[in-house]
Amino acid sequence: MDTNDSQLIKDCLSGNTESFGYLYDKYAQKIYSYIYFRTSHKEIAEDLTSLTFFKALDRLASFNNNRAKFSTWLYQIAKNNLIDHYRRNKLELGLENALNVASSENVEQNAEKILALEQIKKHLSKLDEQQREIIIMRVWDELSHKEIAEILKISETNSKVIFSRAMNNLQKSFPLALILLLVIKNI
Amino acid sequence: MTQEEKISGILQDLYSLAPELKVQEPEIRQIISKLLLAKPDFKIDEKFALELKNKLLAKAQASVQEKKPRLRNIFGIFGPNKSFGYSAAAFVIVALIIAGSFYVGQKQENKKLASQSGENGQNTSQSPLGTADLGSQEQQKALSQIKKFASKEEFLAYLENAQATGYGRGGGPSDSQAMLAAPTGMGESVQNNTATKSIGTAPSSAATPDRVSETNVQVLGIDEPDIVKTDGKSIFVSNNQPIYYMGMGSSGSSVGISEKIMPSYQNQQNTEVISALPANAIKKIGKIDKQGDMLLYKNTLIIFSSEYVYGYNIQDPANPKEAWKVKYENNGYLNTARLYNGKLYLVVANYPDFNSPCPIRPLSVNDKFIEIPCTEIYHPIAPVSDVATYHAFALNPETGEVKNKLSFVGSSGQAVVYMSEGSLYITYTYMEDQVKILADFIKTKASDVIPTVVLDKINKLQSYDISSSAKMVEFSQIIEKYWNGLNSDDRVKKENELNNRMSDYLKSHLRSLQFTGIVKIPLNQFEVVATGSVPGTPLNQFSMDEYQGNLRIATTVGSAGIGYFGGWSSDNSANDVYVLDNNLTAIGSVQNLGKGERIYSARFIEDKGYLVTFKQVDPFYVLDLSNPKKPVMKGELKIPGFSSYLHPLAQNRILGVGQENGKVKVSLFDVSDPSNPKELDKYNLDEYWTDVSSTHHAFLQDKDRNIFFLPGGNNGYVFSYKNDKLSMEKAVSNVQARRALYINNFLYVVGTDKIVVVDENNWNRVGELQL
Repeated sequence: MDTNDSQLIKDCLSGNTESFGYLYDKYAQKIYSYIYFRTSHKEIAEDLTSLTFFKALDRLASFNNNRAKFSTWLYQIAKNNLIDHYRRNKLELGLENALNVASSENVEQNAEKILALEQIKKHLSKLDEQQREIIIMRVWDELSHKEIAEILKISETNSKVIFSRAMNNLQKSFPLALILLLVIKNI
Repeated sequence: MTQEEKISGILQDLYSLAPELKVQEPEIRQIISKLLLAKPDFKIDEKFALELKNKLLAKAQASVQEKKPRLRNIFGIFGPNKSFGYSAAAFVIVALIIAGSFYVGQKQENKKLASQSGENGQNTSQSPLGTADLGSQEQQKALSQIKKFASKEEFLAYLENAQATGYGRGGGPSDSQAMLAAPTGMGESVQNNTATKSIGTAPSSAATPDRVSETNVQVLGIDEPDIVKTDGKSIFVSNNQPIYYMGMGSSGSSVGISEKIMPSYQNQQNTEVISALPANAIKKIGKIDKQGDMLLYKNTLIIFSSEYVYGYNIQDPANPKEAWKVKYENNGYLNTARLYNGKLYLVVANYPDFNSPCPIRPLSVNDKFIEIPCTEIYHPIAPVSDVATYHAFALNPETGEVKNKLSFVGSSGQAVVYMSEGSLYITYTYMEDQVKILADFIKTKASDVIPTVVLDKINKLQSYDISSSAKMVEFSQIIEKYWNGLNSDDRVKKENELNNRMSDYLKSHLRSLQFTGIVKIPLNQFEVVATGSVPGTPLNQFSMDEYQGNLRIATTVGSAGIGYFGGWSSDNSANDVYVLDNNLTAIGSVQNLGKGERIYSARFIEDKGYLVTFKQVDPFYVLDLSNPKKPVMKGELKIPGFSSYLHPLAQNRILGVGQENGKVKVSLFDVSDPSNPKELDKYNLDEYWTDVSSTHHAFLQDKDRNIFFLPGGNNGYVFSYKNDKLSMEKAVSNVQARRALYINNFLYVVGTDKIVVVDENNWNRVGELQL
């Protein structure tokens, strides 16, 4: 998979631009989701997704395969774009903000998700920023601890430790009773 | 990966480090599965994803071309990757002829429409068009009643209530649609939209040119901000936005949320002033250290940067002088601007301050606040969710002085602005109250699954005078309690049953979930004179058009609000066109165009409407709107590909600019027989992307020569449509073309870093300037 990525990058740099299309196909949804989870705004997520890929294309030549995987490099660009976005809009950094937005702004959300999110939010807010970020990256973005570590520039063990602490905290505060379920759906 | 696999994976990781957590496995599982449930799982919009891909490929290709001659591995080594299924395409043009007279028989018509569209029949006959089953009827009514706040306290009370209706505030009033939606559309109400400016708007010193092009706009004579402007002597280029910024879906409105949000990636903030004549010796003569879309009025150049609007006096174009500036205050931002009849119109939005909502100071002009008192703020009588305040201003373009102002309260959902010669229309999207939907669902569709005791509680709850969010909490508790009392077999069974029914329920309530509120502001009165509401959401400014006092609006229903209950799916979507009278009361509609598809472009031309919807096959629909109360779909044409911009080239000739198989395609349609639209000719361009698909401003028509211009990737293309044949007249290569304009017989192709001038008589290059 990674060999593929680096081959595609090589091809692209040597003039076969179509190969960037394959990289894009592979990661567009993931990057979009990553940004969407943190903004919950379709158009903003689209803007930042474009920016991420255009930056990646611009800097493709500077991508160093030995330092990081292409995917984590993309996530890093996306993350920096998000940070810029938060700063520009004077939003507080971090997920809490995004989660707030998620539950309110987006008319496209459905009730079940909103409710689930409402609850989640309550509990996640008891965690610190890094714990929240790692939980979301692991569970929603489905990134491995190795990837999380690369993106956040921490060690893999560190990522795991933070995750388990967060889980520990959560399970202390989480009520077992579950929400309304008109809805528990096939996810 | 199934959910179970995901959870197991996460648990494994977890236990590898903290085996002691194993004892709490049930709790931790719950947490993880709830986290997974709450995961916003929105798929990237296919159209967006495709456009972005094409733009990326175009850029990649352009940068390769800069270095060497075109070289492309057509097959790629990895073969086609199908992870996004964009390939299949088809297109339908619908001509709607909407005009008419069904006001009298509205009741009957309602029923007919309701049954036609498969809505369940429980809606009351009063509701316009029978579209409103739950609360939308009363909502529509309440929305059409608008008044001003009597005091600050009243605004506070309104916010209290409003805040509760939705799910709290957040996000920002979104100008997204106006800014970011793909522009499409045909729709001038005026046929000949390619304007040639009559001469003399410029400072009257040097020789005046015979003819000068203007920015391609929706309504002839109403100018829209863009990155290039000219008065025939000087060309103003505010071009430094990287190519990917502009227009990622921008519908060609001015400073969009994208510019506001995203730091300019290449950060030179400059507007170049270029002396355009003689054409073979164009040169830079001045510079303004601001950047953004522009409007040009006589000797004033107006620049919309992300936080300010600047007016520059350009009487001496080599020495532009700042004449005035307007700042958006309180995190406000520009939705869009127009220039018409000597006035500059601004539409600005922001969030109310929940502690002290008024007076509002949305702008300052030359450092002086413009204040709107509490008693001058309109609001719908019914509370809306996610409150945003919108402000419209008319300014003197030469001084920045505010001539008129007004504010109103609406929802923060995507706002689209359309301006006709008589009125400004501002729309916003809002969602039906969720508790109402859920309660109605249980009452009407699930009363045999949920026992009467529970139903009674829900009924009682409905009657309480508490906020919606409080109701939502209560509601969940009622259901949860009941649910927890069931054994697991029953739960599984009921869950399944409820899911299926919910899915049916939603299908039959397509038009009851998401609405577009419309506010009408006549330019001469500058007051809110009417408000209305229609189901669904418009695509962009071209989705609206005013003709003989009626507003026509094309919307997609069921694309966003609905699928979510039953998983994200746009299969239920459909497209409608509504005709609203002077008071914004719906008087006619055509519904259910392109089921399972969404609108890619719309354009209204006099008493006809043209729509392109797209999914697998893309139909071009022709609507006859000559009877506004009885609009009908007259004809449709299915061809491969889709058009994202429709432009009336000549009488009964419409040009569609879009895509086929991932490449740019232009089609020429003959709509002289509305029941039988024809594709007269088409041209497939070997480019992935044209900016016309993101903003109509990138398009230029030169009627005198029967030609039009499209930018594409690295190059600019001139096509002829003489004798109903599309042929490429000239390719201007290696300019990274963005726009084109003409002055006399010279075509100026404006690219990211240079301008190339060609003589339209022989298509020779006569001049070039590095920017």
